[in-house]
Amino acid sequence: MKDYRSKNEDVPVRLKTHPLTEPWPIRLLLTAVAFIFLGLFLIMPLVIVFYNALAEGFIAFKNVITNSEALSSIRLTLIVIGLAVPMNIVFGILAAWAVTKFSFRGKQILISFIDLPLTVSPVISGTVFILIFGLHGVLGEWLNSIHVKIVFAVPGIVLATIFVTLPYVARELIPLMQAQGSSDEEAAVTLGASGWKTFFKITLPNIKWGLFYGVILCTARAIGEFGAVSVVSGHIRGKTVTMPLEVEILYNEYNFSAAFSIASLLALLSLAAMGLKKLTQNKTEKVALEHEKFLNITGV
Amino acid sequence: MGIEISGVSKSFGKFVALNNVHLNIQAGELIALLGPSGSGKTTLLRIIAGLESADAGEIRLFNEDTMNKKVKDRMVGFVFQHYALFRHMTVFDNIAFGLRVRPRRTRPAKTEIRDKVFSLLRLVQLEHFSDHYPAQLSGGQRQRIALARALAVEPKVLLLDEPFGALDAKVRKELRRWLRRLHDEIHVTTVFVTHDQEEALEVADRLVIMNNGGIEQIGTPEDVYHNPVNPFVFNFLGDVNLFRCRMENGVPQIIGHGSEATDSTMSVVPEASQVYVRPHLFDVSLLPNGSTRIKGTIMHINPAGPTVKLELVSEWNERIDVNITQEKYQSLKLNTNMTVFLKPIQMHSFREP
Repeated sequence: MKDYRSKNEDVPVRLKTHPLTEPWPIRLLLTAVAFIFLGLFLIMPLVIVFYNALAEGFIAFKNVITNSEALSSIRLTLIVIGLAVPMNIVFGILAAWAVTKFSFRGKQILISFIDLPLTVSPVISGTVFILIFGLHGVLGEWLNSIHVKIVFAVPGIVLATIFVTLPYVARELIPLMQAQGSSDEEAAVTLGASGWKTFFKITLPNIKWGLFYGVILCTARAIGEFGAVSVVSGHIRGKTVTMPLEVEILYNEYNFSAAFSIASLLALLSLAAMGLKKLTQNKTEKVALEHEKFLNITGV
Repeated sequence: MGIEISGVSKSFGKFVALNNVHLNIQAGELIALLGPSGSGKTTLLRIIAGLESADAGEIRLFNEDTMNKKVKDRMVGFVFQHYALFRHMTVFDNIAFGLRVRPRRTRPAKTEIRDKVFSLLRLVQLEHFSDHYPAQLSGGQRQRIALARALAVEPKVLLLDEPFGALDAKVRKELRRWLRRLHDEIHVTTVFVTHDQEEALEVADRLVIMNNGGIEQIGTPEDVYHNPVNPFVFNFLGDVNLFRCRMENGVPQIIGHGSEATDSTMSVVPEASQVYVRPHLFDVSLLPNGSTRIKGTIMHINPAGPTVKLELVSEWNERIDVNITQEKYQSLKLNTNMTVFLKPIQMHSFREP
C-alpha cells in the first residue's frame, strides 16, 4: 500500500532503504553469524569462568583468592603493573613527542620498531631476556658478580612486561599528536612559556584522553601477559608467580575451581578495562571530532 | 629601526626557501609579505619569530641581535592561520596564558591580569565571550581572540601568518579593515603574510612582494600597483594580457601575442618587445579607431558583477581578457561571436633582464 501512496501523492520519491543495505534475510544471517561467533568464543568462556569460580560456593572462592600464594600472585601482578605501566607512559610520550615534533635521522626505523613487540611472539621476547640477563647470557656473569638477579626474579618479569606492552601508549599518541600538529605549542612558546610549562599546560591536556586510552590498553595487556613472563619467571611460587601463571599452576594441579577463581579475577579486571576503554574511546573520538570541527568552521 | 633582516637564507633539504633576503621594517609599520605559496614568506615570518632558524644571516629586533635569543624571550606575538587557540581553556584563560606563565617575579597580580584581559576583550569587541570555549566561537571570533592573546604580552612585534586565510570572503574583508583600524590605534610593528594581493594592497603601509625565496619589490600599495618593477609583480597584482610589439616612431605597436618566440622584427627594439595590458585598460569599439588596435572575436561574456568580463580570441588566435563597464556593455550591445577592436589605454613594458 505504502508504495502506491507515494506514487499517487505529490511527494518526492525516496529510496525506501539505503543503497548499501542488504535484503533482510542476508542481514539476519550475517548478524546471527556474528552473534553466534561472539557467544561461542567470548561470552560462553566468560560465563564458564565465573560459573566454575563460584561452583563450590562463595566461601570456597574467598578461601582460594585469600590464600597466601594467590595473594602473592595478585601482589606481584600489581607490582609489575605499577612499574611497567609508568615506564611505558614515559617512553610512549617521549617517543610520540620525538616522532611528531621533530624530524631526525632514523625516525622511520623508530616508528617501525615500536611495533615490533606486537609482531614477535612473547615467548621469543622472554627467551631473549634469558639470553641477555641469564646466568649464561651476555650480561649474566657481570650481573652475578654484583649480585643482581634479573632472570627468575621480579626485575625480569617487569622487563619482559615492559617489552611486551611497549607499543600501546606510543601507538595511541602518535596519530593523535600528528593530527594536532605543533602550532599550539608554538603559540605557547611565543607567549613566553618554557618547555615544561608548554608540555604540562598545553600538550598534556591536548593528549590526555588518548594517553588514558593507551594506558588502559597497556595495563590490560600487562595484567594478562603470560608467555614472556612465563619464560623469565622460573615459577617460584609465592615469589615470581603472577596471576596468569598462578592460574596455569593451579590448573596443572587439577585444582580447577581454584584456577577458575583466579581466572575470574583476571576476567573482572579485563571487563573493567574494557568498560573504561569504551568510555575513554568515546571521549577521544569526541575530542578528535571537535578538533576537526575546530579547523573546519569559518565565518563569524 | 623595528626589524632589520640582513642576508637571511634558509633551505629545507634541497628546497631553497629563502635566498639572501634583506629587509628593513620601521617601528610601528604595518607590512605585508605577499607572494605565491612556496615564495618563502611564511618561512621569513617564522624566522623572525624564532620558530625556525636561519641557515645564514641575522635578524635584529629593535637593535638587538636575536641570534641567541629563545622564542620565549623575543617578545613577539604570533597569530596562526588556524588560530592555534588552546581548546581546553576558556577565552579568558587563553588571553591570560602569556601573563600567567611568567616567572613569579614578573607575573602581574591576579586583578591586574583580569583587567588586562578584559581591556583586550573590549579591544577585539568580544567582552561577553570571556567564559566561552574556542569551539563555541566562529572562525572570525577565534582569530580575534588569537590576536588578543598575542597582544596580551605586549609584544614589540606582531607577526600574523595568513591570519584571514581560513575565513570566508565576507568575514575576511571585515576583519582586514578591522585590523587596519586596530593598527592605527595601537601602532605595534606588524608583519603579516598573505597570498591575497587585494588584502595586502588594502591593509599594509608597505608591501614586500616575494617570489622563489627572494624579494621582488618593496613599496607602498600605490607604488607597487602602479610602478611594478618586473613582470612577476605586475602579474601577481592583477590579471594581465601579454602582447608582442614593435616600436614605430617611439610608439609601441602591438603585432602579436607575447608568449611566442621572438622573431627578426624584435631585435630592432628588444627593450620594448613585450607589453602588458590589464583587462580593464582596453578601449573596446565595434570599428577600428586609432593606430594601435587589436582585432578580436568575443567567445564568452560574463555580465555578473560590477564589470562585464569578456573573453576574446585575438587575430593571432590567442585568448585576451577584457573587462568593461556595464554601461559600455549596454551601449555596444555586445554578443558572442561579434568582432570588436581593442585599443590599449595603458601599456606596461619591462626591460628584458
